[in-house]
This record gives sequence, structure tokens and C-alpha cells, in this order.
Amino acid sequence: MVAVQETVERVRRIDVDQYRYGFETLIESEKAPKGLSEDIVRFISEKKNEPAWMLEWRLEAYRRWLTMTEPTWARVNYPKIDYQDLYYYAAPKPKKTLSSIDEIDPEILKTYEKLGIPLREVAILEGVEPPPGGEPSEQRKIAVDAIFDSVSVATTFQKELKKAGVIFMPISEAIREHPELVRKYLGSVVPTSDNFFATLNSAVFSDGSFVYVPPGVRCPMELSTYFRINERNTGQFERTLIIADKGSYVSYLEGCTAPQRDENQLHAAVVELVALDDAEIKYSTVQNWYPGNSEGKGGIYNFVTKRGDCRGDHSKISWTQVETGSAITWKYPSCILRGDNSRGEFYSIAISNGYQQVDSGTKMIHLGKNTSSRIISKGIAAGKSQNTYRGLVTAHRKATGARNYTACDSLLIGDKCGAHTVPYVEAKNSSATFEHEATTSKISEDVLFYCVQRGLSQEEAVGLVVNGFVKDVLQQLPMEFAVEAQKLISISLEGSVG
Amino acid sequence: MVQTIRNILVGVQVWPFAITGFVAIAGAFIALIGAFASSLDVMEFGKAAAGFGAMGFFGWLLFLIALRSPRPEGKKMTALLEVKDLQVRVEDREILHGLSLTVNPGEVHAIMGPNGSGKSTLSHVIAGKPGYEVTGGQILFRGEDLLEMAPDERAAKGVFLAFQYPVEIPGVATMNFLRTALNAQRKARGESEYSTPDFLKKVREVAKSLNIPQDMLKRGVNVGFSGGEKKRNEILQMALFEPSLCILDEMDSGLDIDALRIAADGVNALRSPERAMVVITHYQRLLNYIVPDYVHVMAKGRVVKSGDKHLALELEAAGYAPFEHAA
Repeated sequence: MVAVQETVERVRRIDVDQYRYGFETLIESEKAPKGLSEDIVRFISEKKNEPAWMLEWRLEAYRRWLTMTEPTWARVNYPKIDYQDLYYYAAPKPKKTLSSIDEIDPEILKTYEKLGIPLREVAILEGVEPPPGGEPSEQRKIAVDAIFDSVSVATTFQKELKKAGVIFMPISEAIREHPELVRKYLGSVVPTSDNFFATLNSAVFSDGSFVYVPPGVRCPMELSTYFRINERNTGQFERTLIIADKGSYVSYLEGCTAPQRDENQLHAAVVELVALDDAEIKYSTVQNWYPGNSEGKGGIYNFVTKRGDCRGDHSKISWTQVETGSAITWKYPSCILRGDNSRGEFYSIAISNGYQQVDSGTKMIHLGKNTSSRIISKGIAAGKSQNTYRGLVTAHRKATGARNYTACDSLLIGDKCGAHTVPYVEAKNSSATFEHEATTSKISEDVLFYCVQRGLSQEEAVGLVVNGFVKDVLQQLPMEFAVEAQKLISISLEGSVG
Repeated sequence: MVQTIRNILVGVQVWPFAITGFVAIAGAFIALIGAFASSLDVMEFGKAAAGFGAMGFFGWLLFLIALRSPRPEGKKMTALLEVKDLQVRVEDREILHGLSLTVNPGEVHAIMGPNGSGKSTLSHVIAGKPGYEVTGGQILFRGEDLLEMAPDERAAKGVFLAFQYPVEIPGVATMNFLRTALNAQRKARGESEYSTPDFLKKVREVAKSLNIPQDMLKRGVNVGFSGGEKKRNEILQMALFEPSLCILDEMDSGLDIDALRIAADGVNALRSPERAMVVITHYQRLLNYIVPDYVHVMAKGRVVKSGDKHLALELEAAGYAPFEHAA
């Protein structure tokens, strides 16, 4: 047990205290008064210059929320959240109206620079060579929408996207500029009455990203949103809506960090994806919210509702997530396979360390004919954390020929953590084919010794084994993110690496 | 060499140098003064003194060098591996009770013995596997205390253990593993890392000689490998890392005759005057292929008899029972 013991000790020592994004940015901000009421909802709507229908939508959600209770079925424990003790709106105080990126508060730009997020329109060339025969100008670029506390501070590459007809802007702007699209799709995947946290989000969401890809367009670059919570005692409630029209394709990345604070902060986001006929959406997340310190104090409560609707025939939605942060994660990116021959995918790496609690998984709801789905989940628990996979695969009566393949693997590091798998599988017609595989294993002392005998340090050995364990999922990430994610995995488990 | 010079300089032996050296320099100085003063007597005196001092200085140096020149038995001073009176416990049970073994560069030692005699324990303790408590004795590797080093340090110094049961590491391509490990060792030794083309060339060469197909290197480490493939993968690593001490733990277990021959050929190709091997086995059979210079019989945690390769044949005939009684 000695080798494993050492690893456990090391993991315990370093874990969450090594959060690298824990700095705070000192800027003046404008906040709504603490607490939640109809007035606050009106305040937010007014701040955003929203049309009347939007305010009505929010108020309806708020009234609905008052009648709801917080769900308790997840395998997570946390003290009761006082929803009246939170700020629901915080925005960096603008010095004047912004017209270009150079006018953004330099402190905010510095923050993103520290986080490694390129807000200036610089093509990312690192390690990516232009395709053979392709023109050098076809370098891969990533358009970024940066959300600071509740407000989008910058969206890059807007012009270039416009040329392709792609709309990529803060959702607050989209509500004003493209009301017909927003009205049609907002809440059509996650209705305002969906669940406690989604309903709360519907009432108070302040910003987020909006993407519309017109028919037949392949979005020319990766789209990306970067979320940062800075203010104390604020909740961040972002709302993302992505619509891929017929025959289009878009790949979207999302990253998150927050400063290190002793209080817990609430993050309740809603993401809605709509894929019409023959469209494909690939949604990747690297979630690295502050996980709390080594005693389990502080950290983000991450209650997120993410759902994709394969509304058209032959459409495809693929979720890939690398979850390493947050004190509590409650998150089930799902696919509604409504169109015939549509396909849903879920690839997940969830790492918990320290006192983190993860309850995450997916729902694959097969409604159309010959729909298929694939779930690959890799849970890694270390320290005193609890890591739960919760998943639902269901085929309705008319969903003939539905197919699903699920593989859930859990890896335990040490003997004070837990891994749990809670799959629900329902087939309501006899032509469905569902496969489910699950394994739970520990990093064995023999494997570690084998690696160190070959000259690897203890940390390198753990990193190697874990990266092997999650390889199937890492391969699904866009290249730039895969490298980042691999580093992140090493950091969240070892600290001494990197 | 550094050690020798230090020994020469340290202690009483430094005084003759100091005195004769001083006389030589002072003589030369006096001779110089004499030359300037045009005094023949002074110059002659200085020359004589300088000559006398220099003769003393170099004479003493020659004497010391003669005294310290390596003698035939001096070779033992630079043994590759020295295990001295090693006592090892696992939990509350003592497994090795005072085991001693000396291995010089270029030698192949076979360690034979029945199950439970402590053969594998010895190999694990040398490689630094956790879970064993050394309660007495020491292990020196080129004169350095091996027990003070972490297992990965030992590997970088040139200690290689070919496992009886090589582990599987899913998702980690063999090629990637080899490269990570080799570069980790090189880095620990302060050497530059291999470039990708150099590395690939090297691996392909070695793999070819061991009859290892390229696609095996793309698969996860040992995942889905047959017994023979796993052992060949161990020898591949041995050839790649170029260790100075190879410990082969029950290399013959689970191999048929053909697989055994390929593995043994691989090992024999690695025999060299700088490299020593310790071959641990139950059966004499393996020693037909890898012919040892020395054979040691272990029983109940000790070496009970040592001899040359003929001892293995004796064992084959008589079995281990007589030795167990001797222990």
C-alpha cells in the first residue's frame, strides 16, 4: 500500500490549494441590491434594455420559481443556500460606451491575459499547421465571447463570422437585434418550468452567448465562450443558445474559472442547443471553477442544465466535457433525439479531489426512429471526494431501432473517496438495443511501481495512467482544448506537474 | 580517479609534497637571486636546492602512485552490485535473513531456489518496490547506497528489473510509454532527450531484432499481449534503456520453448563486459539458453551454496531438498 499511500498523501497536500486561477481583479462594478424579487428581475431586464416580451418571460419564470423546491435527489451535500443573500447582477462599471476592444477596462483585459484567453483577434497557431494544399490564410482561429461576472465584455472575430452569415454575439444583444430567432428558440429545449435551477436562471439570467448558423454553413472557426466570476457573493447565471440550421455545422468551446474565496458562489447556467435537419453541433466544456480549499471551504456550486434537441432528421449533437473544478457539480448534458436517424453523444471526464462532490451524467431520450447514442464517461475520484455518474437512456414507444452504447469507468485514487454509478435504462419498444458497460478500478500499486521502475517519477506515473484512462474522451476534444485539458488533469491530480 | 587524487592530497601524505615543493621553489628563487646578483655560489646553491626539492617531490609522487596502483584483488572495490548481510521484512515476517551477493560488471549470476526462498523479494528490494522493510544490511550499487534512492533514481542509475508479470496500462501506447520512460531516465542523468526521429529509429531497430511487430508498439502497454509478447516487451525496454544491471525475474514463466528461445536470444545479445545480469529462475532449463558465470542456490532467505554453471545441473538432478535442510 505504500506507493498508493504516498500518492494519496501527495494528492491530499497539493490538490485544491494549487488552484491557479484564484486571483481577483480589482475593478469597480455595478451591482443590483442583494436578494431576489420581482423588482430585481425588472431591474435586470431594464439594465439590458429588453423588450417587454422578455420581461414578461422572466417574470413568469420568477413566479414559477417561487412555487418550486430545490431538488434533493442528487448525491451531494451542501448547506442550504440562502437565495436572498446573493447578488443577482454585477457588471464591470463601464467608463464610457465601448466601441472597440481597446476601450475595455485594461484590468479586465489583463485578467483574460492571465487566464490565457486571447481577446485580441490573434489567430491561434500553436501547433496547428495549415492543411496540406490549403492556403496559409486558412489558419485555425477561435472566436471568443468573454463573460465577466454577468456581462459579456468582448466578442472577437465578429466581422469574419458575419461574412459567413454566422451570428455570434452576447445573448443580451441578440434579444434586441434578432428577437425573431430568440423568441422562437429560447426556452424551447429547456422550458422555463424545467427545474428549480433552470427556472431561476430563466428569471435572472444576465448574459451568455447566442449562436445562429444559417442553413448549409460550416462555421469557419471554433466558437468559444469564457466565463469568469469575479465579484463576491454573486451568482452567475448565464444563458447560452445555439441554433444550427439545416445542414450546418458548428463547434463550440466553453471554459470557466473563478477567484479563490471562502464563501461558496452559485453558478446556475442553462445551455440550449437546437440542431435542425442534417445539422451538427459539437459542444465542448472545460470546467475549472474554483473547487474550494483543502478543508472543503469555499468553491463554486455548479448547478447547470444543458440540453440539446436533435430536432431535425439526421442531426447530431455531441457533448464533451472535462470537469475538474467546482465544490459541487450537478450537471447532466442531455440529448433529445427527436429527428429520425439523429445521433447524440456524450463524452465526459469528471475529476474530483479534496472535498469536491460531482453528480454528473447525461440523458439520451430516443423519440425518433433509428436514433443512436453513445455515452463514454470517465470518473476519477481522489482525496475525500465523491464522484457519481447518473444517466438515463430511454426509448419511447415509437422510437423503433433505437441504439445506445454506454461505458462508465471509474478510477479511484486512495481509500477515502467514492465512485458511484446510477444508470437508468428504459426501453418502451422491443426493437431497441441498449448496451451498458461499467467498471470501477483503483490505480494499482503494481502499475505505479512498474512505471517508476522504468524511470518515471511517482507523479508522472499517476499522470500517465490517468491520461491513458481518459484517452477515449480526450480524443473527442478539439486539439487546442485537448492539450489544455491534459494539463488540467495533471494539475488537478498532482500539482507538482506544471 | 578523483577519489585517488583526493586520497593522495588528504592526510599526512600531503606534507612531503608541501616540504619538497617548498624546497624546490625556494631553491629556484635563490638560484634566480644568485643569477641577478652574479653570485655563482648562491646560484649553484639555489640550483642544487631546487633540484633536490623537485626530485623529492616527484619521487614521493611516484611512490604514492606505485602504492595505490590497482592490484588484482582491487577489482572487488568497484563491484557493480554488493548486497551485504541483507535482512528484509514484509509486515511481521522476515523473508531475507542475512543475504550477501557480489556482482561485477560483465558477470551473469543465476539465482535458483524453491518457492518462498526469497528470490523475488531480493529482486523487488533491489529495484525499490514499496512494502518491504529493510531491517539490516546494505545494498551498494557502484559503491553508492542503493537503499537511499527512490525507485526511479535507481532506474536512471542503470538498475532494470524485468518483471515476472508485466502490468497492463490501458490507453497508453507502448511507443509513448517507451519514449516517456527513456526521456525521464535521460533527463535524470542530465542527458538531452531523444528527438522523435532518432527515437523511432532506435526503437524500430531493437524491435526488429526481437521480432516485435510495429503494430504491437501502437497498442496499449501490454494490453492484450500474449505471455511471450509481454516478456519480449520487457527485453525491448532493457535493450532501449541500456541498463548496467539487469535483473530478470522468472523470465521463463509462462513461455513455451520457442518464445523462451527468442527471449533468451534477446538477453544474450545484451551481454557485454560492462553489463551484469542476475537471472532468477526455478528451473535449470532457462540456463541452457542463458549460460551463467555463477549459480547461487537460495533457501529460506539465504544463499546456501554458490558455484559455477555445473551447480545448476546438480540441482536439476537432486532437487532443492538437500539445500533446504542445509538452511
